[in-house]
Amino acid sequence: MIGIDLFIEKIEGQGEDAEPLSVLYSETEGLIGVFDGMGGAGSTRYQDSEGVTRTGAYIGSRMAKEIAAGFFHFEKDRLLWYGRELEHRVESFVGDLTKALKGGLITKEKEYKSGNISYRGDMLKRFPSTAALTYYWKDIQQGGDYKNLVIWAGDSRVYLLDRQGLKQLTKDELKEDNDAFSNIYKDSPVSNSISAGADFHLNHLLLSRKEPYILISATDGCFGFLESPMHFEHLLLDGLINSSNADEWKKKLGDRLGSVARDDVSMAAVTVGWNGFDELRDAFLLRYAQLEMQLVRKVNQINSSILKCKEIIAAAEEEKRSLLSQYWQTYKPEYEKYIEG
Amino acid sequence: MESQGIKYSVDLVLCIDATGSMGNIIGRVKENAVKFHSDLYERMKKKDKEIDSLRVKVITFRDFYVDGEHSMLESRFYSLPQEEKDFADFVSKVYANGGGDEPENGLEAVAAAIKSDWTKIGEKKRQVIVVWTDASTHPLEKDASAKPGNYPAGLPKTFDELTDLWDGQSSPMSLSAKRLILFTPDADCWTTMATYWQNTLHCPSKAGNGLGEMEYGTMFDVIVNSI
Repeated sequence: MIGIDLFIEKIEGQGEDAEPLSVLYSETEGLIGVFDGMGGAGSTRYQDSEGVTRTGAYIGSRMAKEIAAGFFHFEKDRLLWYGRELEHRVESFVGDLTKALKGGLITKEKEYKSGNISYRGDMLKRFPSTAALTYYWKDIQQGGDYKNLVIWAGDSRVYLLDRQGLKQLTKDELKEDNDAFSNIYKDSPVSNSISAGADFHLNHLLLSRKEPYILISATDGCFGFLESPMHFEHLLLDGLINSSNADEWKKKLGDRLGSVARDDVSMAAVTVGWNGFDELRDAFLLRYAQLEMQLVRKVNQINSSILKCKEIIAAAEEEKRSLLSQYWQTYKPEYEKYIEG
Repeated sequence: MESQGIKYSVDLVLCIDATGSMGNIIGRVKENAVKFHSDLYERMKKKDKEIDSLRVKVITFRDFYVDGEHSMLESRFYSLPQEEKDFADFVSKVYANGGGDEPENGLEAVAAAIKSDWTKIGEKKRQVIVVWTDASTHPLEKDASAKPGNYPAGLPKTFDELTDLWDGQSSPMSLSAKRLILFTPDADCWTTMATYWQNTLHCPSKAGNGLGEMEYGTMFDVIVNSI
């Protein structure tokens, strides 16, 4: 398995995304996840026991990550023991994780002191965070397929990428019913998020896979500033196709996301079922070529045309201003001869 | 692949209680009116948010049952920075006076704010209403059959109607764009709004004492974080 973790803070030391969660329990079992502290809702400031002041969003994403990681560390084996009962029992597992988060956040809240002003209303929450995680394992008892338990709250996402393309596994929890493309432009508020003292829920999806795939957990800083969902797939594959090893791929992704994103970036990816980097890269050559030729190159050409048109318009406006200004200088004396002085 | 950036079209409606006890906050708003635009741009820039268009409007309110023609005054939207002088001129004429009994007509001001002529330009719009008052609210149902002569027509007749205006399907405000920020006491109907209305933030103040304990900077932080 190849693991890629990316973490870029918009302002160093103040990133409200937690660092990505990426745990490999064995060669065939692991956990990835991301947590996005919600800056607007979590803007209340708190002091910890050492007197350091942080926003509720900063603290919340890290609390949620810590609680989730701890829960899976102690409880994940239940999923392996469920066997044929897995589909029926997974809901109670997710329910237990929900309780762990609710209880854990209340307990951890006591370690912090908030400011004197107490705010109310749904725009502000205590330690609010999204979550998007996947626990994956090879189910030897059930034919050797990979099982994937996807759990999420909010608008951070889990994706699956295979030869047929990128698939979003988590439905964004938004107040408005926007799809992935329209929400880039409409930016709806999140309708459900993890927070202390509030009633929230976790969604889940159980997926079996025979064929190799890539799992990706990503906060919205990774995909929310690109022109379309297709551009996110292209960004992932462009880095992969143009790299000769995982470290190079990671660096290319980091450079591209660092230059595009206007928010914190947290991403964890893992390749499942591939025999090495070369096989992984070669598997996506055709898919990359399709995206590049059918969409991205055309969009880039259109963007160049738009830029040229803007330059032409700007030059024409400047020419007009200059002409008017010059003519006014010769026109002005006669025009103002009765009002000057 | 081009970066989207974050560019916002922001409409801000400031609802200010202009009764006598509000002298302190009105003074602060006036002081900062001239630099309001640059303050907002500066703080938004720190959060890597760019304002493409900013318009600000002021609604002052008092008590329709006491203050006659001075009960509510509503400006137009001023585009900033282009109309910064006109905005500052309007604000300079606002003064704290009158009010009579403790409840004031804050709900009517909120209704008028919701019905503002919001911008339709721009992809990422923000429609922010901010209310400053140190008083509770007269119920909208008060004297239903005998409203004062200067009471505006077309306002909601009940709190439920006002709630529909804010949260209902036919609200003139967009769910993703709207924000209501209340610097108001923990009193009727502000607490109900904070509890049940969507996209609302309530910063409770002590009723009857003006808003002296609030720093203008803190208020600004809350407004910026809400955008």
